[in-house]
Amino acid sequence: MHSPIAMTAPGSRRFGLSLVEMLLAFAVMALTLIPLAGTFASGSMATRQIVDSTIAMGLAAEQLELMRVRPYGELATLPTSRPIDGAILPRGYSGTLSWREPAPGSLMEARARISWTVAGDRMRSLELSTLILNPRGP
Amino acid sequence: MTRPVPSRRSNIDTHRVTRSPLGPRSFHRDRRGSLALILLLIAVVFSLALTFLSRTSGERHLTRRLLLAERAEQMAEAAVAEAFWSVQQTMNRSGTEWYRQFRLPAPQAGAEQVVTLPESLRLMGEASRSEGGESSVECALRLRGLQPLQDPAAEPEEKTGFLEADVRVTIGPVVRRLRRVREVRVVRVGPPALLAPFTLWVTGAPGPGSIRAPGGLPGSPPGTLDPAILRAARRDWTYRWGSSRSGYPFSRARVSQFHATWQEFLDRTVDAAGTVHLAGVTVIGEAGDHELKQVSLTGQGALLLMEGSLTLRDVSVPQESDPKIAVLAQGAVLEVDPGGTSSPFRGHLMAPEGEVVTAPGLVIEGSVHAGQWDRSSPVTLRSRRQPLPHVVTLSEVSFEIDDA
Repeated sequence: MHSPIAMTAPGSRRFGLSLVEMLLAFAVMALTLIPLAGTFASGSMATRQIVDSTIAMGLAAEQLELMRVRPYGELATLPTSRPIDGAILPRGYSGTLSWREPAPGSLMEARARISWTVAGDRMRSLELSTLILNPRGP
Repeated sequence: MTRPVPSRRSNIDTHRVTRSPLGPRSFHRDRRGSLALILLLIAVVFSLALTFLSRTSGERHLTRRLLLAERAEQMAEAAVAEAFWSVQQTMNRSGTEWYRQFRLPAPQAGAEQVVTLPESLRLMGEASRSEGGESSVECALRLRGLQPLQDPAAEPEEKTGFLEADVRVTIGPVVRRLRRVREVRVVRVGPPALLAPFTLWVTGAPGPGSIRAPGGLPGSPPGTLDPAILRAARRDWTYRWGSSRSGYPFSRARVSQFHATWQEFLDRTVDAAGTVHLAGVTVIGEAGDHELKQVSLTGQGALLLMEGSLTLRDVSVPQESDPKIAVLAQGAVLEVDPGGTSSPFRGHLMAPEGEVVTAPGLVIEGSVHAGQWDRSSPVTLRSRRQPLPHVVTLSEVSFEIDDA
């Protein structure tokens, strides 16, 4: 009569996870998570760069529009290169406005350059330029 | 006698037993389950990574398009500015194509005159090259809605209409189109056509319609004007620019700018460098005595005072400019005083119902048309090139055409 209780025969496998299997599992997890962590890190950095560039482009476009609405004669009296007021820029951003007249009195080239710091104190910059016409002609 | 029954518990006690609640096959199922869980975990992690990466890539792509769109917007604005500038530079310079185009007789109302001129857009060409080979800037200029000037005395060249600049900027996948229009006005700004050949015309000289001109002055024959020509010239003049007192209608269609007061004219016209640029016909309505002092007069246009008198004191006129200054009221005075400047006054002085007063030593390169001219002190009058009979102006305000 067999015992209702199961009996293990000598030499049979035993239930549980061995140390090798655990190490194998951890190795697989490491192989997966470490690159993933790097991916998330670089993705976050890329997202940050996207945001910074977008902000810089918006600031540059805004500065050029502010120049465009001023009377042409008044623009010509401004310094040919001047820094943008830091009070209107977000923290970490700086900029310069410059202009020159390819056709004195009638056509002006305006440039807005925005710079910002990224991780590691590195500087990145973006420049936008356009032409402004004296509506009253030469 | 009975044999003792062996106890079950003794079996339990005497044999080591390994319990497995799942049965003999349970160990193999655990191993496969763990493997499945690990594979599932790896699959989930990779899916998340791919999703994140693709999303970041999508954001980067969209942002790049946004930045290119902003750059294309600025380039389009610049191209429109340079296109209008190229027209302004040549529209009043004889011998150029735009000079000729603007002075062709106006077509029927509503007709579109397309000018197929290759625009230089030199500056924008350089800008597009800086963007790399993927960028291009195209521009077309069209004259639209040309109509003859609404005036019975209009000449064939006089017209109004619109100049449209149609710009298309392409940077990579981004395309930006911008269409702007400025009002065009082509009007006669000088003296009446009949008087244009004369450097000097003074009606107050002895005898009606006599001309008093220094000997040898080119283009100004001595003697008197034919009375019929004189009447025609006066009628033409007063019809075009007659003051309210003369009773003749005032042709408002020719006016580019009107200022009710002299101060308003100064505030809006004199720039920080002290330059007064006359483009088209500028009319001042305020009576009284007015003065322009130590300014530079530029442009080909006309400055007309309907009621007041005007003194030009120490006013300079660059070589390329050709302004016309007129006081229209009866008895008005137009005085020119060179002050400390030694350069000649280049332009045309008109006081058909009034008087021109000139300071000693003044040199005038142009013409004088006046009812009276006080020349008690020596004045040098030199003929200049014929003034442009018709001047083209573009409005200061531009309008954007929205295709939507």
